[in-house]
Amino acid sequence: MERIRRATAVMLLAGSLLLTGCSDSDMRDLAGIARIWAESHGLVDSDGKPDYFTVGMRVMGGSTGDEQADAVIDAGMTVKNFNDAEEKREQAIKEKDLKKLDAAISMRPKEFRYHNDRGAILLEQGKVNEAYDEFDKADALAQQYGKASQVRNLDSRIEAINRIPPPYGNSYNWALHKLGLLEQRYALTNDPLDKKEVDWIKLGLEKNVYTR
Amino acid sequence: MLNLPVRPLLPIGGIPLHNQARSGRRKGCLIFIAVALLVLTAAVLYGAWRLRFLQIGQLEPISREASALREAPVDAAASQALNQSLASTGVKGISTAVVPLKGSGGNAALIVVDTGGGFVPATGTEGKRKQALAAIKELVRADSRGKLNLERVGLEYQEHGKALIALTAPMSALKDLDAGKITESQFLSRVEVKVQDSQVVKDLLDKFR
Repeated sequence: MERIRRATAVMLLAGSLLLTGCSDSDMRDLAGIARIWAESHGLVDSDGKPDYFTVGMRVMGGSTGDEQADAVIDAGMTVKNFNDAEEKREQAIKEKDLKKLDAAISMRPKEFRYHNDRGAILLEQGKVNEAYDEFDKADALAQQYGKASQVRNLDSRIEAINRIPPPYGNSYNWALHKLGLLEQRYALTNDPLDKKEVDWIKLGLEKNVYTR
Repeated sequence: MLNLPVRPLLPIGGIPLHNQARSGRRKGCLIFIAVALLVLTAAVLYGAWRLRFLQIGQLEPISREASALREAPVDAAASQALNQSLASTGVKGISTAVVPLKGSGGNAALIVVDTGGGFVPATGTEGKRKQALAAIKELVRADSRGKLNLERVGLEYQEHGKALIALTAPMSALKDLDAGKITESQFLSRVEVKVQDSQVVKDLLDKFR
């Protein structure tokens, strides 16, 4: 039985097409840590030595038994995907290029920040209805991830509309929009700084400092 | 009356009855072999496909939770803060993404260290141990300082963009280790490992022996 298990493990591993740059001493260090790890997880044979087959199967994609751990351990590629999308987003904002922003959105469709950025560019172009459609999309996405994400969504929209230059960027409608966002944020966080800013914009609206 | 030999009656198709039975058996056997071959080929192809994807670490996650996590909106500000904290330890080639864990209210820190981005693993077991402990300390600090609300940490080690090994542990285990509440062996018992490159597994098993 042991022979069959070993043979299966070797067959599973022998087909490798990939080579790594790990040095021999790196692998020895890693093997030492791996041995302690296998023992601490009870992946040992009757003699208390690491069970090669069970260790091999477990670390090559077997479930850890914890859904959250399985999900996180498989999510490394998210980092690169996010960084690539962020690069496209930055270019899009700089060049006000909706196509580049669409490319970022297609890479990470649930990033509500990208929809807020899109909405802000559309507002600047005077496409108010389309802009608010984007903001609605951002709100719907943020709501799926709880209060912290809703606050982040409001922050990203405030940041996006703050980028809009005059005339819209200093208009009465712009101020009303920002006021609404800050009031929503204050309702969620009770942050006194939000309250201060709300009062400040209200004062500005009363004093007609924004262009109509 | 002449007793002429009578030719046996032929069924339609012209094959004698006893031959027809033999032919039926042969046909059944051929069909069985063909089906068996098809099933075997499909099994071999599926096995090869699965193994190939396991080798390059690109097997699609099966669970809904895994794909939900990959799609979740990244907290860009928290990611940047964590990046800066980890970079402050002098280690290069680190990139991170802080993502919300659906349903729990907490976040996961996804960390990638890449030799292609400048990451240099410390030399020797003791050096690696110190490097890991320093990173854990910084992670715990960054979590409390930046209120990152981390629940779980995942770390992927890459060589020039190719994923080799991934590790994950609950944040509570990192905090306990940092506070000296658990030993390093106890910490390892709460760490999960996945090797994305079968050559690494093979090398490790060789070193085990």
